Amino acid sequence: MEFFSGTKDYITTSGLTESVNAAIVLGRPLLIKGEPGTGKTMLAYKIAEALNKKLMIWNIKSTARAQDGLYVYDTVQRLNDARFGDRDIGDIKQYIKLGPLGEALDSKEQVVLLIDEIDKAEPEFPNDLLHELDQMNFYITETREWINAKERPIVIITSNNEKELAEAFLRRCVFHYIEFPDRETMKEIIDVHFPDLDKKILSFALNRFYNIRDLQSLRKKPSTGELLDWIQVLIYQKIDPELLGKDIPFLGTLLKKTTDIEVVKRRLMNV
Amino acid sequence: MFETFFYNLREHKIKVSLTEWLLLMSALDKKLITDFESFYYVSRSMLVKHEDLFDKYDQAFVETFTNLKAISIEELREFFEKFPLQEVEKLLNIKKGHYDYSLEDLIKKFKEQMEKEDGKPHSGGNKHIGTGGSSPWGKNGYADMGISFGEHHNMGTAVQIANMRKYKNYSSDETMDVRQLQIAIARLKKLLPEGPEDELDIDATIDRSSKNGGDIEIVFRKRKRNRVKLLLLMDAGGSMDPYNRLVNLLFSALKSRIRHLKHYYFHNCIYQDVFEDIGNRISFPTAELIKKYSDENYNLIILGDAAMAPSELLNEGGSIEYWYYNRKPCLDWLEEMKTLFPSSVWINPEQPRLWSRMYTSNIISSVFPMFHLSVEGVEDAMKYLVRKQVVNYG
Repeated sequence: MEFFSGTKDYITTSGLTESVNAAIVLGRPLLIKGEPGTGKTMLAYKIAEALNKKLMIWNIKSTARAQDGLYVYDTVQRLNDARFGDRDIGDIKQYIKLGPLGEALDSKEQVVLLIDEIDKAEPEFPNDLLHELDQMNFYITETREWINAKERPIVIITSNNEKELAEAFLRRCVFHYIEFPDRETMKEIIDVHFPDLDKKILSFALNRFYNIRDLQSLRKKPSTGELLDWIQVLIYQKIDPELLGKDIPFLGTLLKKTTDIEVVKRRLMNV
Repeated sequence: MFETFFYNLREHKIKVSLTEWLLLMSALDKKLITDFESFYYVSRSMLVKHEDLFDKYDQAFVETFTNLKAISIEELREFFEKFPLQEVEKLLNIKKGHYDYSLEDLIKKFKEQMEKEDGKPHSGGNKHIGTGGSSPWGKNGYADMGISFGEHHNMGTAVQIANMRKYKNYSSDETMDVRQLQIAIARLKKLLPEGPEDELDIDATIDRSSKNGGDIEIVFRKRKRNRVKLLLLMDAGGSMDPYNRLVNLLFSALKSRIRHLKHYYFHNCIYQDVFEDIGNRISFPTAELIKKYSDENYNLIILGDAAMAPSELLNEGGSIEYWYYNRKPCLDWLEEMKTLFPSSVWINPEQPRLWSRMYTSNIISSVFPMFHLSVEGVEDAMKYLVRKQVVNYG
């Protein structure tokens, strides 16, 4: 059994590797929650990369149905072929198109399946997946065929907390909540992306970033992704923090709401 | 000692299920837990499924493991062999068929797993987990005797982490949650075709194609979507104050589930005006309200405690507001509503056993079917509404 321990450009926080490995070893889906920008989705990519497995992605939308994840029966194509095509329309198999979950279960090798933002779907959606995630098989009605997973896929499910998930579903998952990185972890993350970053810029960026996040009245707090973008701009523009005083340049990179920008200007920049 | 942990978790309202407890057992068995710190995280990831509960977990953890002298691997093993199944069964008061697997199946499965595990070199032929030399339990090289967690620095770390109580802010103490209500409300459905024509209508396609002499003609139709409409009238009178939280819960659950939701307020009883705001300042004529929404086949929910002076319900001029005169008694309005809204219910936050003692709620419940503001009550109310719903494909 291979174990996941992060990758060189993905810093794991306490408890995350334990949860990931527990989910893998026990063959249970791993439910990941956390603030936006804490790398929930990225985790699946990195697990696939670290364990050298193929990644399949199922992006959930509000209209998603569990069935679509398993397979779609392309009737239109079949009807069309009946009229014009030269394919054997008696062979129904060729009109069954597996969805991401279906493909993950059908795959000969173990794959990583990311079910991204499961909370976007209707509240019943996770319950509709219980059987498939438990038993790791499903039935194709049209061809009267069972698809049984040869290798249990590693299932990573992310949620942004827009809707509560059902108890029955939660009981089957291993759960991890990714906390927002503290200063030390953030330093490591920045170091991975900008290894040669000037110390002055680093401590300036970190100080300002956490000062801004500490403001209670913000509508949307800046996240890791925004911090990295901001540092990129600071480097590109060759900003010297010592000449800045209280100014926070390119604030628009960190904050996306005008009201938030005004709050920061008033509270931190004394404008 | 692990019993204590289990009891402490339950004490802190973390409802550990049998499935989850067994999962933790197999995690121990599969050597996922290498030291006490990893025990803290792994057991949390198996037993606690919401960050709101992390703080409670931390408290239970601290209570169980502080001042602990030592846990030997023997004890750990013994505990997980003997304690959980029978005890958990007792604790959870499991009824047959209540779980997805039967208890026997689970025990069997677990035993099988254990036996399989035992064959592997890592457990060193010994049937005790992780004993037998290079124990996976101690990355710091603990040997045969098993790990004395108590003297292990990692033990301290885990308790320290728990003691930091950093999830305190996530904690909440809701009893009836919005989700339960949402599920209840999900019963209120009226599936009607709506939106773009993007669903293949196989019957119509075959029909048309046959008429074309086999020339395929593909027909699409609109997908069915929930188009249920709901008019909600809420009592904002003073006697409703104690139920504010429940009312808000129901209101937000309804709002999140039903797209066509209209709501108005009234004070104690409904007369010729209802109000758009909770302070009863912006009025809307009741007659117009009834006409408008009954024409569009809205369902009606009236939410109130149905408690008032008899005169308020029955008399002309019965309103208790000195500035307000009603020519038509409240009861007449209610009866008119019931006639024009076939699918209508009254939801009452007051305990059902008190309804019959109250003169006015007795009368009102003879007009509208009355349901209690609880998960079950709301569920029954929704079932009633669906049955009475006018089906009109317009």
